[in-house]
Amino acid sequence: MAKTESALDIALAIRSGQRSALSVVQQTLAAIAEHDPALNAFTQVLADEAITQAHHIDRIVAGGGDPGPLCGVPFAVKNLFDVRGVVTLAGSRINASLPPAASDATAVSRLKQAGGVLVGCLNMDEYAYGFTTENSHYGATRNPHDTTRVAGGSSGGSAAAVAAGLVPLSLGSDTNGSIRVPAALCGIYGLKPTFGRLSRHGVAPFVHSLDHVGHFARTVADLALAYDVLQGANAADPCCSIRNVEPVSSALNDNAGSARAAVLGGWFTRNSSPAVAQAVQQVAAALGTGNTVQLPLAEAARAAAFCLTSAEGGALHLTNLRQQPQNFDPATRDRLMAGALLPSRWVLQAQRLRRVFLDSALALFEHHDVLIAAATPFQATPIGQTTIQLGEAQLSVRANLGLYTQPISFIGLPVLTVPVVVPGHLPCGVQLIAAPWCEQRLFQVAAQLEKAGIVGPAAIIR
Amino acid sequence: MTDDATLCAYLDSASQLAGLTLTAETREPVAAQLRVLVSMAQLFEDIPLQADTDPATLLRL
Repeated sequence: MAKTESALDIALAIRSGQRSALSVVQQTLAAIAEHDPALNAFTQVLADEAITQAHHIDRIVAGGGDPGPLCGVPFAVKNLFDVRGVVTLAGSRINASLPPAASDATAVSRLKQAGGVLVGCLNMDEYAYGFTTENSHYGATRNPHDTTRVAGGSSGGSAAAVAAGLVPLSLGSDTNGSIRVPAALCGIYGLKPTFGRLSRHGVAPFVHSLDHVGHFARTVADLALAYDVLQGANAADPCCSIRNVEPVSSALNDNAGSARAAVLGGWFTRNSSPAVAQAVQQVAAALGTGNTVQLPLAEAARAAAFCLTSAEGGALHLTNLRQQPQNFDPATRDRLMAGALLPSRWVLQAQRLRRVFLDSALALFEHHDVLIAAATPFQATPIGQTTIQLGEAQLSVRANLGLYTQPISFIGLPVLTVPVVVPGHLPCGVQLIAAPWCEQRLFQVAAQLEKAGIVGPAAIIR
Repeated sequence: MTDDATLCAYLDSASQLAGLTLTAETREPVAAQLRVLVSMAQLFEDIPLQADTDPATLLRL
């Protein structure tokens, strides 16, 4: 895979004049050309635009200016983010006939304004409805650690591109686990912030009441760097919080060792593979906790998230389901159609359950700063494999990859997924979960674990 | 909507009401997905919630 450099190192080298943004972009484009055919992470490479932007960055540096904290850092985005002049596919064939976006999504714009250089758009499950990025229109994205296996989804292209070292940063979205699942399977860091923390303006919706914007990186410091740039109120998104920016980069080493942590038991350990269970224990041990706590109603919360997703997604796509059902991926179409038929009392009950379930989670945070749970029940499965045997249970891969993520996004809690170091094995991911708006604590704990060598990006094994 | 005959009857009438066309190819897969959703809904539909559990407060974070 490509030589891996951190975003911080790239920005420092360009800002100091040791390297040019143009040389970094050329190197990135060459790496994509060499390695992406084996991965299928990119659906579009924006070479001309990236070179133009790199020249712009180099001119600012040459003139003594500062292009921003992401000075010349290449990044890529899941293809449901609007990019000016590019058709926002959202993983679908139907959207391919839409006109190009007239402007950038707010998240894309903020990364660019901070000096980032957009190099392309990334593959995903159709309309973000899936956990494997086995897209029937644009092909499956392959896991850089084993190209016969899935990268996870729905932001599979975003995770694979970062894990393979093609870009140090990428944007994704998470409705039920679509950042946390691929981050875990590809062995990198992924942040799903508090619901409403980051602007969704210019992002194709899937489930309005569950959709989150977030991102991927190979180091905690890079994840923090991009997070600080992405934060901030946005009038274009009525769901975006008006909270002030709460920077984390400058506070990564604060409060080290003081987090009160506990492992989520019950639902969050059921059907775990031995490797995944071991990863959770490694993190718990490093944080000095043997405590296990229960989050009541987790199974019901997962079921309610499942139904809400189908119902809201089905309603969103109803016109196309009526007019051109043949142009959907059959697996997406069937679930959306069924969801469009759900009785309203179930949808309302699911929404009401969110309040109750959130209150039970908030009660846990009175005594804990961070809750620990696996991100997925098992590691990356072979592409095309539909079921997996765990103990005596035969489980559907697609339906069960999100078992542990869905209850958490159901109530909008911030989650930082960390890659646990398991030498010689496929990556495992662990969710670090905090109370609403407490992302800074998650970054500090992740930095502590990274410093101790417990978590870090999995090395590509060939 | 617990037995299969009821589910299939619901599927036909609800899809018609929603303006969705079920074909020979799509009817069974959509019915299968609806069965999954029904089994999921049964996990939370009868959980007693206080009468004033207002869905509008769900994102009062």
